[in-house]
Amino acid sequence: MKYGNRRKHGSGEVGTFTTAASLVLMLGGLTGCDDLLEVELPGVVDESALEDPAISALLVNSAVADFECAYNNYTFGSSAFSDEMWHSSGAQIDREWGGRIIDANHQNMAQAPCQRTGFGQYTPIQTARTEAEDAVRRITEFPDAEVENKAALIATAHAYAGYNYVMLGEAFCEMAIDGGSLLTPDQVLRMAEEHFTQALAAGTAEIVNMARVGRARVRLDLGDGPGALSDAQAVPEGFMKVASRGDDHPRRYNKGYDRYTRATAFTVSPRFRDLEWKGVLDPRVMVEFTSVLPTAPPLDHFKQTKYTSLGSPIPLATWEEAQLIIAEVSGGQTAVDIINALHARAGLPPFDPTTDGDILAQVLQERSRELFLEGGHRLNDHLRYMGTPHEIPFFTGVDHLGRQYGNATCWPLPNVERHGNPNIP
Amino acid sequence: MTVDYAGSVTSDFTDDLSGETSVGAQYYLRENTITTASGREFPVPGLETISSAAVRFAGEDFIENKTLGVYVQQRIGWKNRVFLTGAVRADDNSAFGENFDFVVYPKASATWIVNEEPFWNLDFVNTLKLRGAWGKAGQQPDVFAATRLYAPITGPDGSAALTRSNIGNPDLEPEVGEEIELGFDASVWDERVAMEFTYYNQTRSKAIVAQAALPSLGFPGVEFVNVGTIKNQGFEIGVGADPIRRPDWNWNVGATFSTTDNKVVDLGGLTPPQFGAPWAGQRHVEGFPVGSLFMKHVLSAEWDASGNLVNLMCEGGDPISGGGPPVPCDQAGTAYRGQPFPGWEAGMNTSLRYRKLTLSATADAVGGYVKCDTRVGWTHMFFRNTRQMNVPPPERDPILAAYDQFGGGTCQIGLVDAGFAKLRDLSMRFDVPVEWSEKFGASTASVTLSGQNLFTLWIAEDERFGHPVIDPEVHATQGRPTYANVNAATHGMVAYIQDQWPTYQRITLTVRTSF
Repeated sequence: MKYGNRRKHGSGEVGTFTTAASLVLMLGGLTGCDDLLEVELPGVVDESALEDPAISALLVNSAVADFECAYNNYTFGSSAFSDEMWHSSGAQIDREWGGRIIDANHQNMAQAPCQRTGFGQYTPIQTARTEAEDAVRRITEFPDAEVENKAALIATAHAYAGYNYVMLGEAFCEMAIDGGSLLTPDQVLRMAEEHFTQALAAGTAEIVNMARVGRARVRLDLGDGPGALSDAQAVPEGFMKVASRGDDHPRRYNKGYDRYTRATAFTVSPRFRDLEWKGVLDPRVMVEFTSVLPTAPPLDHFKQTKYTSLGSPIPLATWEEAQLIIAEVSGGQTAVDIINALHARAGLPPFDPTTDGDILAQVLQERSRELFLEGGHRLNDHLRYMGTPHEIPFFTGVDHLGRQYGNATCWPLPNVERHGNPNIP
Repeated sequence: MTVDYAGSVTSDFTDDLSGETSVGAQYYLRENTITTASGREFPVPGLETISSAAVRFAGEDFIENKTLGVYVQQRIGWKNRVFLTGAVRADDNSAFGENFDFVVYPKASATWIVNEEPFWNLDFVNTLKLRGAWGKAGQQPDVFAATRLYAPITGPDGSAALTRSNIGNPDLEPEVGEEIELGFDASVWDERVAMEFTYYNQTRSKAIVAQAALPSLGFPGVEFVNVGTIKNQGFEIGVGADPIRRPDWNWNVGATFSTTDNKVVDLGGLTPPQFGAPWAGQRHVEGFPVGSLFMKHVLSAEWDASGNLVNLMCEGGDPISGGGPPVPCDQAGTAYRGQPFPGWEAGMNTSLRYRKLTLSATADAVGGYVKCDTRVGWTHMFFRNTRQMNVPPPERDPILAAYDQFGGGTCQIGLVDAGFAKLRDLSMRFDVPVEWSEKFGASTASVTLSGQNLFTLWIAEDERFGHPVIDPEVHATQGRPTYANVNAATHGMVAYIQDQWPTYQRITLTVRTSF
């Protein structure tokens, strides 16, 4: 497309310019020829290109694309930050993620876009969120007759917007939306809930179930047990919605494979190696020893085997997650039945609360295994149960390479937002 | 492509008063097209074309920028010894913001050739010219810095999608530089000694600063804004002499020296923006040179009897610029560690001719700046295979260990005083006698043997924690586009060195003839 900034409004300097220009009339009126400054943008488009109803599906697809990129970073950045992984390279950024040295000035957390080293979070999620909400707004305003499957497209955009708010609400200590004032995690999660509710109204079956799992997750976070239960119970067995990954571009690489396995930048932490249940290896958290890494001191590399290629998709919303939400909310025999159903699928012996201990502790243990390296669940469980009898402690003190862990838990609102946002005092 | 048109009219108003009126226009069109292709996963060894790879990537960039400028200039001369010049220039550029039009730059200058005055009676002074100038000039924004843009990306399952790529600023204006320059040119003793001196004082207002786009608005990268005021002043002095000037012998020497004192005066309330690699700590901070390096600064640390690092003290004070008394390092912010461009530059040259043989040499030196040499930093901290990183306490340098413990220490560990002096050129030229060159049909001929960058005469800091600094002259040839903040204000000021090539030594033999 062509682009030009050619619009000559009156200004105080026009007279001077005209005077100067009149002195070079022999140039044949060059100064008045706006086309001379028109330039081409063959590799990008400006905002006017988005005002076409014919690209409604593209708008939603774009929102999904940026969500998947942000979700990739979120999944593996939060895993690196949680007790699922240990950092195992000398690279500073890996060490900061693995060592929980993430503060408000952490540029990689705050500003790195999707395709970069490390695990950019805040900006990619906000980009994906605004794209999804922008798609909702634009498509809603387009004439109905000019948009095929309009309601379904809007519902899809709502569902993905909801998941963007999930990431912002679960991991960050504070939040700002669209340059607004500070929000608490609960306020952000309620925005997610609203988006999921909108998605449920008109989505396809896949989007509806995705929104059910998402809303159940959010309601669990918000302490709305009955609401979470009703959503989770409606999710059909076997349902799974994934975020696609691909080897066609670095921004689409599965970072669990690319960074954890291929680059050996992270090793599965001892808490998740050789996990058994009553003497049977748990196939949900399979880990392989691969090598001794030349760090100081030398470090064993244990490879995750959940993601085996750059194109391995990442689970986003699953029936298993819904079942574990039901178990956590319901407790008692319902929880035991769900745990044992999941054990049976994995070929593990059953759980017996009379001899094996606390049911809620077991639900959390099941979540850690069933949802291993999926969607930030482990970090969310660290944070949800912090300060309770079921607290899942982060690693603290001196790390496996002899250096000090940081003290970050939830991720702070980046200073790039706090200092640049006029609505945050 | 450049189209340049200029015309001038001269007129003698009186015997003493002359004038010259000039008008002109320039049109610049700059296009950069970059096409790349790569592939991976070749089925068998020996296949080398991209089309034989299983996975192929292609890329194309196209950047276009256009400038249209017109000017009018009037020069007036009085008795051929006083000259006054006034001019106005107007520029428009395709990168200006939608809400901004063209920009007008005036300038004026005066020259007085004092030695032409009747009262002048210092015969040994052959030339004395005083000059002064004032003017404004602009620096256009980066191409498309003003425009909100969306870029194509690969979407789910390989589908087409768009992503937000540039927030744009429709109010973006060019930077405006205002400069005063004063100086003189002089020569004495039959022009055997010549000297020139220039003092300049420049203020750049509406400086274009890249600030991070507010993430909650959904755009990544930076937004270019006109907020800053930057001052730049210094002097340049040059001296040349011909100690020997005879038919068979000739010897001349020359020297130059210049300083640059740069300071960010005002950021309009902006949080000091970072640019370049994040771990290089380069920021624009009020009161400090543009793009200075701000990093945690360990002042002292000790090993205790058990080999634990204790008593870590860092520079305290302002959270960004430091400057205060030592505080425990876990309470310290960053501190000013230096500027990324030379504070002074010097050069020397000499030439000795005996009949047909001429020997010449030039040397130059720079200093007053620092670099983040990550060939040093990464070797210590990432590869960890230096002696210092592997000797046990207490032999290991506790300062190095402290930076390592904090993380973020790559640039602290690789921070070097980047001053150096080099013998830049050494050459010997033989002018072939005409009678010899005529034998092979040439009117003139010469043979020159020269060497460039043969010796490093001085390095301000030749090692850092025991690891050598290979070549302090290595510099980033451009900003690091991956960090998105490359613009007029940062170009050439990236202090982060990682994989650039050192300066080559070269030996050149040149035979020059004319027919």
